[in-house]
Formats: sequence, C-alpha cells, structure tokens
Amino acid sequence: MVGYGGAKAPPCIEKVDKMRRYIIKRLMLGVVILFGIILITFTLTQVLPADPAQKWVGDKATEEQIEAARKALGLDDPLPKQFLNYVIKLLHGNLGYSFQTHRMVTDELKEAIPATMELIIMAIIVGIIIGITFGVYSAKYKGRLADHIIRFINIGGISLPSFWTALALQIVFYGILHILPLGGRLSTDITVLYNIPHITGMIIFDSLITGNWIILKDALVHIILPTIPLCLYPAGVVARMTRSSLLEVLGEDYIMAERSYGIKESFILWHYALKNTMGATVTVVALTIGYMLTSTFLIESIFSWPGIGKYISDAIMSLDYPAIMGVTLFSAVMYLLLNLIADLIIAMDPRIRV
Amino acid sequence: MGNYLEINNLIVNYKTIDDKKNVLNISRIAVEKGKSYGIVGESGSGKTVLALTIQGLLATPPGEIESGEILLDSQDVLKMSAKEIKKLRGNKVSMIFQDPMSTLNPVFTVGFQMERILIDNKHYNKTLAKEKTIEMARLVKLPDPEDTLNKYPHELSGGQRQRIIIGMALLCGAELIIADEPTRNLDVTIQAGILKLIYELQNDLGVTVLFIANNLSLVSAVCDEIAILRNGIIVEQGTTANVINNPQNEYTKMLLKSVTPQMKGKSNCQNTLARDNTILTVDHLKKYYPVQNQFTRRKNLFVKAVDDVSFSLSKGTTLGIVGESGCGKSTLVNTLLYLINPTEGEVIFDNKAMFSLEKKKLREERKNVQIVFQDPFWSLNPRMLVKDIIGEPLKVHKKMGRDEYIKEVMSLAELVGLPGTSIFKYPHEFSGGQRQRIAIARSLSVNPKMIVLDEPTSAIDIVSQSSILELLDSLKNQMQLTYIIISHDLSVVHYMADEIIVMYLGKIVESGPSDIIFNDPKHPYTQALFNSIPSMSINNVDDLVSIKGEVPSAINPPIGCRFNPRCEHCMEICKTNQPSMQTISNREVACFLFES
Amino acid sequence: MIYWNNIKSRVKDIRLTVYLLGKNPLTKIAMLLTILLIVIAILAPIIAPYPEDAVSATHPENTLAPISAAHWFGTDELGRDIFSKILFGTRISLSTAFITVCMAMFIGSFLGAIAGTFGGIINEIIMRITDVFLSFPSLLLAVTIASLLGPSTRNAQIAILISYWPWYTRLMRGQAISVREKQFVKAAEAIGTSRIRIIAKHIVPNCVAPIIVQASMDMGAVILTLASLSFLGLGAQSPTPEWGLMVATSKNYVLNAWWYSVFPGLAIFIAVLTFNLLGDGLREVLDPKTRKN
Repeated sequence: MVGYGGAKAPPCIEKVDKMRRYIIKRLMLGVVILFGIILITFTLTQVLPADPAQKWVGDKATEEQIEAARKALGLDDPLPKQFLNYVIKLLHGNLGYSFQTHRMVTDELKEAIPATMELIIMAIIVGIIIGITFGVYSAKYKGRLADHIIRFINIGGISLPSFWTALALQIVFYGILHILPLGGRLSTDITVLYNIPHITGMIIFDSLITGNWIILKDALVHIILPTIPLCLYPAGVVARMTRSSLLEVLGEDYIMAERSYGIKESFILWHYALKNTMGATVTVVALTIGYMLTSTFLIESIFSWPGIGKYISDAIMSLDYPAIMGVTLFSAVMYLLLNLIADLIIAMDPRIRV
Repeated sequence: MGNYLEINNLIVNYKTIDDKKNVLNISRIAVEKGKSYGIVGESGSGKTVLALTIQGLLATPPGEIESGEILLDSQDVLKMSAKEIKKLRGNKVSMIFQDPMSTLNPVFTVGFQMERILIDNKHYNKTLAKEKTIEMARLVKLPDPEDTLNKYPHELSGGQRQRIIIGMALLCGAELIIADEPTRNLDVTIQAGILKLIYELQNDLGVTVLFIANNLSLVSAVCDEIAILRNGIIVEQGTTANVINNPQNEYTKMLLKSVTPQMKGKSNCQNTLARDNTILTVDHLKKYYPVQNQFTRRKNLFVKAVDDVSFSLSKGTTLGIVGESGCGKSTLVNTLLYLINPTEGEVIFDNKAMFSLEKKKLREERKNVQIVFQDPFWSLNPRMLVKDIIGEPLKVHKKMGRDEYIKEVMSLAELVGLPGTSIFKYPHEFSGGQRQRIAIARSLSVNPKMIVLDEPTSAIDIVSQSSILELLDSLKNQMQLTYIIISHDLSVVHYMADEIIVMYLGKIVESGPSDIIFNDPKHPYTQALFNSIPSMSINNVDDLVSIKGEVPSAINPPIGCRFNPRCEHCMEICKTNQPSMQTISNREVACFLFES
Repeated sequence: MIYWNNIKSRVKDIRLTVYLLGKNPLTKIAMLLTILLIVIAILAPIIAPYPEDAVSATHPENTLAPISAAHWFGTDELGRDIFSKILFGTRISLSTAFITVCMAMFIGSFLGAIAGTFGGIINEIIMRITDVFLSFPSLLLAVTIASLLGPSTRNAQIAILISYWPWYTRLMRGQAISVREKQFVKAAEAIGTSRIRIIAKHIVPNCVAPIIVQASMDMGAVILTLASLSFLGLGAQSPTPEWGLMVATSKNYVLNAWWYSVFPGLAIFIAVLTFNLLGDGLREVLDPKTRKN
C-alpha cells in the first residue's frame, strides 16, 4: 500500500473535504436503502391475504359498498400507478388509514411515538451507564471472580426474554410488594387533577422544563418498571463491547507508554483508554436500538404503555394491516436514520481516515 | 562520575501454562552518569523485557523476577513498593518507544498528551503546561510548534511523531532515558536525523541514555559502551571500539559479519557468460493508481507508484532493487508479474509478452516465475497443512498420483532444510525463519526459471537470515535460477545481488553492477541512502548524512527531477526537467550532474 | 501412513479447540447444557410424565393446579401438565433454531462470499439488497411477514429465516474482503491457482470462524424470536406446546397461577443463555488474536 507522510494541502481543509464526501456518500446510500424499504413495504401491501376493500367496510357490507371502497382505495389501478400513488402519499406523510379506527395511521403514530421515545431514551441512558460501568470493572478485574460474575450477569441479562421479565416484575413489585404501579404512564388521579404539559409529548422532559415536580415524580415512578426489562439488552451489549474493546485498548502500546510517563492509572482507565472504545460503543448502541424498538412491542402491551409497541400489538391482534405496515415503515426509517447518525458520529472520530 | 544505572545478577523468568522459561540472566551492566550505553540483541533476546523491568513495568503474572538488583541512582528498583516505582516512572526514568504510531494515543491531540504528562506528573497548571510543551516542541526541532501540537498522531509524519515521543520522554525531566529501538520504523533517511537529535540532547542536557537496538552498527555510532545480548545473557560487553575491533564471542563475530558487506567474486564471470541470454525485459512500465474518494474521481490525479521504469535482466543473475518504503519496489514487482494491472508498458519474460497472453496461457506461464513474499506469517494459509501449501503449484500445474506427490513434497521440504515429516503440520507450529523456508520450497516446486524475493529476510532474526541467504545462494547455482531481490537492508542486497536498481518515488535513479555502485555511488540520493545507514565505517554520529525534508507524496511529485527539493546539488534545470539515464563509469545514472 | 498423518493433524487441531473451550468455566457449563437440551429434545416422549398433554389431551378437572408431586410445574388452564409441555417445547425451539440458522447461514454466507470475492457490480447489488433487509429490525420484519402469511409455526420459521440471512451476508463479505487482501491469497494468485480454487481452499476456510460464532449466538436469538412471535400470537398456535405461547396464555392468569408464567419463561431463558454462553466462549477461542495463548 502506498503511504506517505507530509500532506500538501493545509490539513484542516483536507479533513473537512473528506468528511463532506463521506457524508454525501452515506446520505446517498441512505436514500437508496430508503427506496428499497418503500419498495418492499409496497410489495408486502400487495400480498395481503385479505381483501383490503372488504376489511375496510367491515363484515356486514354489501357488494356495492365493497366496490365503492375498492374505487376509493384505488385498488383497480395498474401496479406502477399504485406504487406512484403510494410514494406520493408517503411523501405527504400519509401512511394509510387504519382498518380498525379509520383514522390516519400517521396521526395515531404521532400520538404514540413520544411515549415510546421516552421509554427508549430512558432505557438507553440507563443501559449505557450500567453497561459502561460494568464493562470497565469487568475489564479492570479481568479473569478474577468479579469479571466472571459481571459477565454472567451480562449474558444473563441479554438472554432474559423481555416479556417474561416484564411479567415477573409486575408480579413482584405490584402484585406482591405493591410499591410500583401496574402500568400506564401516569396515575389516573394525576391525569384528572392536573394539566399535563404537552410540549414534546415526553412527559418527563416536559414536566422537567415546566417545573411541574408532582407530575415529574409520578411519571418517573411509572417509567421504572417498563425501563428495566428494556434496558437489560443495551446494558449487556454495551458492557460486553466495552469490556472487549477496553481489554484490546489496554493491551496497546500507548497505554504502556502513558504508564511509563507517570500518568495516573484512574485517568488512563477512565479517560485515555475509554475514549478509544467510544466508536465501537456507539455502533453497538445503534444496533441495539432496532432490537429495542421491537422489544417495546412486547413490553408496552404488558404495561399498557400507550406507545408504538402497544399500537402495533393491538393492530396484530385485529390484523389491521395498514397499521402494521405503517409502523413497519416508520420503524425501518427510524432505524435507518439512527444508523446514519451513528455512522456520522463515528466519522468524526479522528482515528478514522475516511 | 559514578554509575547512574547498575544491574547486578538479574534473573527474570516467563511463566507459561506448562513451563518456566528464563528470559534474562544478566551478570552486570554499569552505566555511568551522562553516558550512553547500547544494548544490541535480536527480537526474543530479552531487550524489551529488560527495558520494562528497569521501570517496573514488567507484567508480573507471566513475568517473574527471581533475583538480582537494579540500582537506579543508588536505589534498588526491585525492592521498591508499587507506589515508589510509580513515582520513579516519568521522573527519574522514562522511555522512548519503538513505534511512534502505536505509542501515541490516537484519539487525543499530541499537545494534550504532552501537557497531560506535566499536569499529572509535575502538577503544573494548564497554562504553564502549555508553555513548557511548546518549549519542548522547539527543543526537538518540530516545525511550527503550536500548529503541530494541535494535531492528532495520524496527521503527523513518522519522523515528527518520533520527535514527539522524544519530547515526551524529556518532559518527564528524567535522568535516565531508555530508548527502545527508536528508529526501527522510520525511513532510513529520517533515521539519521533522529539519531543526531538524541545524541545532541544527551550531550546538552546531560541525561544518561540506555540505547536498545537490534542493529549493531546503529548502536555503535551513538554509544560509548555496548553490550551484546543473546537469549537473555550478555555475551560480550565493553567500549564500542573494543567490541567492534576485538570481538571475542562467536555470536558477536557473526553479527559483525552480517553487517559488513561482502564481495562476491564470481559475479563478474557469470555475467559475461550469460550476457546474451536476457530472460526479462521491462519496457517503460507504468502503474498509476487513480486518486479516488468514494464515488467521485479526482480527474488527472494519480498516485504514480511506478513511473516509466525500464530494465533488462540476464539469465542466472540476481537483481537487487533498493529504495525506501514507498518508492515503488513492491508495486514494480507485482506489476511486472501481472498480479496488478499495469497502466502502460510491456514486459517480456522468456521471450513472451506477459500482458498479451490469454488467461490460460498466462496461468501456465506462472509456473516459470514464482514469488516469495515478505511476511512469513500471512503468506501461508493458516488453515492448510504445510504439505498442501508447498504442493499447491504442483496441484495446479501438474498431474500427479498421491504417493508421488507426497514424495515430491517431502523432498522439497528437505531441500530447504526442513525435516520431511514437518509437512504434516500447520504453519503456526513453525518459526519465522522456517516459514520462510516453506515459502521458498513452495516456489521451487515447479522448477521455475525466475524467483522474486520481496524482503525475504526482514521479518527474521539474524541467525536465520544468514542461513536463508546461503540456502538461496546454493539453490541458485543448483537449479540455475534468476533472482530479483527487494530489500531495504543494503547488506542483504550487497551480498546477493549482481546488479542493482535504486528507486526513488517510482523512478530508477541509478542502476548497474552492484559492486560498482556500492563502492562509488554517483546519484545524490544513492549517496545519501548509503551514507545515512550507520555501518562499521561510520563511527561518529556527525558523519551520518540525513536528508532534509520528508519523502513527498507520490500524488504530487515534485516537478522536474523527483529528488530536487531534498538534493544538496540541486540546480536550476533540476527543478524543471526530468533527467534521463546516462551511462557513467560502468553504470547508469539519471541526474543532471552527469548529463553532457 | 500418509493418510494417517493427515488425519492426526486435523484431529489435533480439533482437540486443541475443545481444550481451549473447556478452559472458561462458563463455556464448560454452556457445553453441558447444550448437550442436556439436545438430549431432552430427543427423549421428550420418554421422559415426560404426561406426553399426551403436550399434544391434545385436556383435563378440565385439574386446571391451574399448583406445584405438586404429580405435576412438578403445575398445570395450565386446561389442566395440562406444564412440565411435559415444556419438555416437548424443547423440540420445537431447538429444531426451529437449528433449521433456521443453518439455512440462513448457508444462504447468507454463500451470497456474502460471492459479494466479497468478486466485488464490483455484483458486490453492490448484493449488498444493497442486504442493506435494505438489514434496515428492518429483525423482530419487526418477522412480525410483518408472519402477520401476512398467517399465524403458524411454519410461517414464523419462514419469517425468521428472511430476517436473519442478511447478517451472514454482511459478515461473510467483510471477512472475504479482509482475507482476500492477505498475502497467501496473493501467493495463490501468483502460483496461477484458478479463481474457484482460491475461493474454496483459501478464502472460505479462513472466514468460517466468525460465522460459527454468530450462528451459535443466533440459535439463542431465534429461540427468543420464535417465543416473542408466539407471544404476540403470530407463531405457534394452541395447543402446540411452544414456550412463548405458554407465557402469552399465562398472562391472563398471572396473579393466580404464577407457575404458569415462570417456568416456560425460565425454559426460554435457560435455552437462550446456553447458546449465548456457547457463542461467547466460541468467540474467545476462535478469534486468532486470543488463540495464540
């Protein structure tokens, strides 16, 4: 490989240039994939086992009503035209209408998203904090008892079926101990008595900004139980990645060099070494988000948490295909964006020569 | 002046799963304050273990210090508590490391890392630390200190990084500096500059330097006293002059021999005999890599790895290609073997135009040219048994029965000095030198006419090196082979080659019979190259020639003669025109100094 | 004599791998559990005290009975012995995991090897398709496909297969690209070895290790996915004794019959844990970096 020292152009310009090129390439890639996703979801809508027109008007419809529905839904048009319509509708944010409620899926999602976002963000933050701490200690005490215990807890955490953990937590903390609520985001009396601030839809965040401590406390109490099963996966994955990454880094020559220069061991561990693992951690967190999005299906339905997960599990129950499709598309796009952001964050890492 | 560092009866062991291996058994080393002491040993001799033990950095689960004392300024390091040793590090003793890229933390700026030493170790505040850091950057002759300090390690060149490492070692204010092969990974021409720097700093600041290297000539140029370390034991020590001129130990003698260039008396005879038998002709060969970023292509920007190279090779001769890393040697060889698509040019091997052959014929022709790669570890498929590795050319080019095949492979193994039964093992069960032998056996299996050796000895230790070279030599006569040898180690090339080519940035600057060029290099670059490597004839650091500047990027090579920005004899014409090859004194040179 | 030597070397290599695996106590446990699970799956009809409960029998007189000597794990809402059902459930989970993972592995790796070795347009096409599939979180894709195909164990397996194959493609391609650059591949080219032979003998054997690690971890993931799909009502249907389905049905009785939720969930947990530990241990051993020691 050809590699030389001494750049010709002033280095900062070169760096920005390269980064811009990478961003553009990454975005283009994202667009291509997006197109692929839309194509797939469209294809899936075409292979629905049920007749959408029939489903739309319900079981007791007459022939004419079904025909009218068919026309209204544009089901008689040739395929390419349907696809075009589909794409156009998507660009306008129209994901179709729910069979069940006849409302726009987009609207229903809009209401559901903040709840799920809140839960996921909470779980990620808790997961990262626990994960990094476990990972660092596990690496520090490698091979000793603490390491084995932590690793077992990690893998155990990842292996627990989230729905089962959720149920178990409910049984213990609600059924037996009565200290935490059964489900929902807020207690019924709070919702009745108080005016819930609605800026972002994320209750914790909103009440924090507006200084509404009572609501904040209630919301926090409610979010504890759902967060626990959800955060186990990112915590375990982050811990494992931090541990292996950290061990690799600690074996590197520059760590030995820093020790020889007399730098404090704690600084080396928590700053010098840890920062080198960040890139890997970010990638891995991005990967877990996909898993977490789907875990919420299960957890939200158990805790009656009014988010996307509950929405889709209800939709599955009633085989409400537009709803299912809508959520699928939305989740895929979300996942795509999150991966994109993760990739871009990593690109800012000075080590990566892009 | 008393001894600053004294090591007495040090025994260090290494514990593995099953046994205990002794890695160091040093009777006595004494270094006077303010002097420089060199320790010469190959990889595996224990020098790094020694360096780490002195600082208390030896990893003690596998390592074990059985007995001895290390007196640092009259205090025994081995008897100190962990806390006291920590205080010692970065204060009394600090280290300059071998590979500047891997010893700098890649995600922090170099300035931050330097300041951190002052903040953590000396408890300076931020502003004072910054000031001192800039001062130190000037001291180690870094260009544009403020700017350079804000960069990340990968943005600097090898030479700059090494200066930073030196600076960091000095920032600790240490009285003893252990320099562990500080120039190993640098280009030869940069090396000289770093050595000079260390030498100057040592004299100006009065620090004691423990210089560790695997290169005897390097150490002898810089140090007052030296010791030869082999398998953990000091086999010889004394003042540099004494050891070099009056070696007592066999091993020392062997080291000296491998470093001194030898004359090859027979080369001339062979040349005249085979003169009309040209086996290889390379004609205006070019390999340009387009500079490509992701999907966009920068128009007309190329990495000119090989730029218009022409030469011819007679049957039975050995051609050596020398040049620093990045000059295009490996690319040249890969291209002329058609392992890489050439951009332009023609190669005629054994009267066949290589690039015009159709696929099937090309594959058949491959059996006549074999290549032995540089890396003995990755050039053999780790998942294949040795017998399949050696026999692969046989399987591809010949049809053989199973028994016959095994017999053939066994005899090949024995030909290169390995026991016949070893063919049933996996590559990882062999050492570097043995793996290289396997690679050579592989290349011989189909009786090729020419073998290309890409840095055949750079990854092996000295003892194996000489035996491999002797093996190659005897095989050459036995099987009437033609060799092309690439090496950055001039002594290897001098030993093996009849003719040599010197390359710089993709062009040939000088070519001709090796004896003639080695005795009297004409091109300024060749001169500088030969003179920047410490050899037995150069005993003083001041004699080392370092070429100013760094090797420029091959994307935008300098206009005119490629070497002109760094050449001492640069003239006006050199900056605008490219010189052509002229025949001067029995060899060819491309330089305007000799153009009529 | 010659063939014996050949075999001896290969066996030595395998023995070394097994020895290294055994060094980590967690991995040893994992290996034992794996064997245990397989044995249970095979011998379920013989070990289970009430094998007919796992198929169609119901005992309306003994619904939701707590743990007892007769029913070690209690009974469900139709009086069926939970212990027997769990034992039979092992068959479903393990067979699904094995079949799905093997198929995903072969299909995915094949595509990945082609993409990685040939590069160029082939690579772009294959990878773009893979990327599209990968941008759906796996359970989500499985859920969508399963809901379209209709709820059944077979359809759930198909859905899972479609969700999992892309990971192998990406993994294999990455490996193929890095191996392709190694010197022994260049050496083989220099010898004149044909393309196909290079792929088969040089590239593929050196890519296998991470694939195996991924496959063993995926076994656990597939069991979990199947359980999750069944939990949502999209996988196994009553009366199939699938673990996830059992937890789902138990939801309604959770406060009265805790054993109904706990034991099937525990079974899922142990199975997934086993494969995760196994995969983790394999990774430690097969990674050439750590193997040197």
